[in-house]
Amino acid sequence: MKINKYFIILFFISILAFALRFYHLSSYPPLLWDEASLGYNAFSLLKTAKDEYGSFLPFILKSFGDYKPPLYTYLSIPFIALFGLNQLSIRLLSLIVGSLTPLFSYFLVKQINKDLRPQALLFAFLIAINPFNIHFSRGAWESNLLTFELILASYFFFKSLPSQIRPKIKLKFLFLSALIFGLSLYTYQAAKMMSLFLIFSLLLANYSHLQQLIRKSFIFLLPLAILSLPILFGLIFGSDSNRLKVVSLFSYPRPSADVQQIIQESDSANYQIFHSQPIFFTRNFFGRYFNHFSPRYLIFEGDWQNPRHSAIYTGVILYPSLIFFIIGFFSILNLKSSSKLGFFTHKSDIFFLLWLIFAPIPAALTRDSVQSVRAMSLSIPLMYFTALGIFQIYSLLKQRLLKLLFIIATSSIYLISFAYYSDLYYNHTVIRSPHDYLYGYTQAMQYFIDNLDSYDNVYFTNFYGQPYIYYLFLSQYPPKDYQQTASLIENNQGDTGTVENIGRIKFQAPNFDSLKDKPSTLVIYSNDEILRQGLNNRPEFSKFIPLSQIGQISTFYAYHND
Amino acid sequence: MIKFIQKYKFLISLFFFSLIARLISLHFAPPSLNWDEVSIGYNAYSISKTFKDEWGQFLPLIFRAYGDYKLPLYLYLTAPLTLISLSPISIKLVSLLAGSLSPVFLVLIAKHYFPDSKYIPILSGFLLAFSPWSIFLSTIALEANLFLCLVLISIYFLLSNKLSLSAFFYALCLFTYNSSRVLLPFYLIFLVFQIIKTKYKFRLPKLFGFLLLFTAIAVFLFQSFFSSSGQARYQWVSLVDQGTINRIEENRNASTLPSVLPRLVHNKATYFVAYSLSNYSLFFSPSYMFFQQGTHFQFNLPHQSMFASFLIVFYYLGIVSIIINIKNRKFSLISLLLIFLISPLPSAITRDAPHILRSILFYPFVILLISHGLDYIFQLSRKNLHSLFFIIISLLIINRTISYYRYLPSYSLSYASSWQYGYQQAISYIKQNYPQYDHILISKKYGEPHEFLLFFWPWDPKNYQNSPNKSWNYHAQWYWVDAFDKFVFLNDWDILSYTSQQLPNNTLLITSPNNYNDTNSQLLRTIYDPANQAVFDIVKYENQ
Repeated sequence: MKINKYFIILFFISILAFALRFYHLSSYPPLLWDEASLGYNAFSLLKTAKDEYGSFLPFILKSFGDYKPPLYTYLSIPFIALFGLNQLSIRLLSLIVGSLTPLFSYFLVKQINKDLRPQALLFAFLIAINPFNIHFSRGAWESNLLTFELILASYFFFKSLPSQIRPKIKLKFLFLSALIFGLSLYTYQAAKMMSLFLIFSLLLANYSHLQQLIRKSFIFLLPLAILSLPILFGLIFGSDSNRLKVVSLFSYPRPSADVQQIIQESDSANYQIFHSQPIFFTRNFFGRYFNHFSPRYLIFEGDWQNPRHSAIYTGVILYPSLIFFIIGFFSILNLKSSSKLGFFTHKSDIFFLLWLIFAPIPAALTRDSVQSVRAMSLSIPLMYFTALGIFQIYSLLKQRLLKLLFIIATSSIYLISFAYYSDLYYNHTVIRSPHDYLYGYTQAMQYFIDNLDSYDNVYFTNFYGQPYIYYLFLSQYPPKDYQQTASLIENNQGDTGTVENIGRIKFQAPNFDSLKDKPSTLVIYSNDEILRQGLNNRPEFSKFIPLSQIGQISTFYAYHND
Repeated sequence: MIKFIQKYKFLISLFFFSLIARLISLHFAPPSLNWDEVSIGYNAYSISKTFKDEWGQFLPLIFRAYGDYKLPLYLYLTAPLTLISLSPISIKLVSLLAGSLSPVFLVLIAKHYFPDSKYIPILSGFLLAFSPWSIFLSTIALEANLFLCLVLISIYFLLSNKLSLSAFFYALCLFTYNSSRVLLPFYLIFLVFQIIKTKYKFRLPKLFGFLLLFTAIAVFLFQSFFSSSGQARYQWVSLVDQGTINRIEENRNASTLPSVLPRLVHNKATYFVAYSLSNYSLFFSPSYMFFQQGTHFQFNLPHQSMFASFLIVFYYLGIVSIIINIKNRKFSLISLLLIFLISPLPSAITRDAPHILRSILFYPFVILLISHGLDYIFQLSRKNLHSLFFIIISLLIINRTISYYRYLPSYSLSYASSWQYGYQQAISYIKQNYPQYDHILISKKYGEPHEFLLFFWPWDPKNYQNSPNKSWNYHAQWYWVDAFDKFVFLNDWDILSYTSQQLPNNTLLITSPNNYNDTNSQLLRTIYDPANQAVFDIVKYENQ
């Protein structure tokens, strides 16, 4: 059997991608609430076919009142069944999907343009080492699954198209593509927009086949329509529209004090013409949109609003990628010769250009000025153009020696850049912001669970939010029992709610003075509460047990009174 | 599968759109579950948990419920759904799906009758899918709605010569809704005619359908002749009741005819025939369906006729052109006309005619006639105008559906009392405070409080079946539950006197507004319906 050299390289790229994403995954980064919640819900579904609130096979998971789409949880059930409920098993799906992303990206590009094979290989490699993709593959991030689904669905869509050999549309692949697009609606909230944009891009990129596609559109529309029906009802009538209101950009108009200020500066006609609310929203939208293309976001700081979404001191792509991205971006224009595709040489160029344009829109429509998670599918077109850029320079160089020099120089820059990123990711990110990464929750909760039974009054701080889910997750609390008592106190603004107690366990940290002398008491305080109550300067501080030492501090302390 | 989708894409999308139309409607109305739905829901739940109905009968073929004796198929189809969750949607799902499937089979029937016409199947499918009355009935857990779907399937298979399947589905009809029993003789005639005409060959696997039909008929005959339960329902709806017997008596005495003749002229049979005929003729009066507004507010929408008034032209045109077609030797249409004429019979021989549920098979065939009339106009006009006409008609249909949706919120508001609104809220209050009270009294004013209690709780069926305190009695052909567990159910007019006497400590009373004795009482909460009318007062009694 002849083994294609491309496949050998691809195999190694996949291994590399897997290794980079798997390294120390079970201990680093610390477990987040959302992961614990996905995990516990999957566990609950596995044991009772009901989620934590006792609703049977739900279309949407209530979780903390943020109403998570359920696909990640459902797909995680087999891993939980195989490996039990732990940090690794809930991340396994994201890990696998993240390691397969380079492979299917290669297939996608190859499917669109057969002659772009070397570029596709480079593309796959760049995705394998891209911080953006690595970061979200190391954790149960739904948007990582979404990115994979978008690639897969596009791949099947292109595979269904007629070719010279087979002039007919392959309905099987068209159906599969629509099915995956439909499922993506259950993967991540941003998909409701992103999948729509991508379908539009696919149609636009395949303008020449449009007539044929319209004739067979029923096969494509049916699964999409069936799968989007519950979502539509949820949006129009359901509870998750509330959540949309919280995160939407349009829920935050210019404050009236600002309006007064502007009117005072000139007059109200001027305000109406140049500063009205629509203009304000448009301005905010484009501000957020272009933030995602700013060097500050791409290579210097990453998601500067939320340290949890990228490594510290570095961006979402490696340093040299930015230059090659710009070169690659401009290299797709073909002004000299006229082809069927207008100014473009390849169909994949059009497709990825549209993807690039659309990808930040779901993130730009929300309240945050940058949002890595919602914009994650941006990583794919970014890497595509970077790969084109590298290849473009390489093919411009005529002499062998120069080519060799270029390869050595580029790869060493990439190597250094990647080493720098790895150092930042492993050695600095969590230590710098342990609160954002919720460092110590697992250790503190494990200690709490171990010592729970010897005390009558037990408290766990609610300072970092949702401690109850860690309790459920780590103690593997029987879902059947929890479903009976589950009660979430909803937040009035529609943001995430809180669970105040499970049985006798209270998730709050009362003022220290009020329970200092209470007999048989166990309290877990967060570092911040210790500082706020000034406990670290009091003599009793020696009785506090640090539970999760990191750097100079411990994020949780236990206090007990026998 | 993909080939299947490709082939039936019109039917699939028709099903899909009618499902959406019904789901949207379900969101606005009805405001709550009525007692029949609750009874269906709890009996199904009881079956799925214990294989016994609420009275402890093991897998019954007829459900006693309140004494109204429900036929079993709807309940058995619902039973597995109630295991998932005992919620309104799971009770209504069967009706919802049946209602969405009916248009599909109407299209197939239309295709069979009018194989050359492009527009009749599509139009009739549209008309049934988007008719407000059909949408509204599909949002209620109604056996009649399931019956309509099954009987349309049965007719479709009968016409396409799959007689075993047809018999199978008609057997299911017999287990679904009483109208099917009235129509049974006519169905059998059709079936035998078809068997003779096509020289049908009976083969072993195909016999199954006929066997089931035979069993269903046997069960039906057994129920009607050997047990009181099957007849009970007919006594409620029968034309001839004690009132009419008195009237016949009166007429005889007032008659001036010689000796024996009054007995011959005024008797049950003549009365029955005369009234049936007058009931029957109601179905064909021009005002019914096209101008008249509904009278049963649970099943018809007030202030709306069943079909848009302008369609009446096409209705009569359809009838006329069918007759012309039959003259032109298109004999297959005779059966269409016959079904159309037979289908109102179940309603004609009972009270309250015209009753939309009992005559439910009538309306799809009215739709076929209307579509035929529309098609007749199409045939007269130039070919390139067809699609324009078609679009105009579709827009008119959709427009009516939209105005129906706009009316629904105000329906929910005004007719909440027809839907026994307020039980759910009252019961969730009782459930929260259940352990604090030793006695809980509930008024029977809005009917069957025990069933609502069981359903909304949801009470463990096994526990209820064997509840030691349960007491019930049978009078006026109805089973009345008076007490179980901590609960006592009182007639509304008895509450004042009951609460005047010394009550045990810790008594909770759920009563109609202001209907209670004030001494030692404390009003805890008043429950309002959507129109802000008080429905229940929840009162606590404490001895000083």
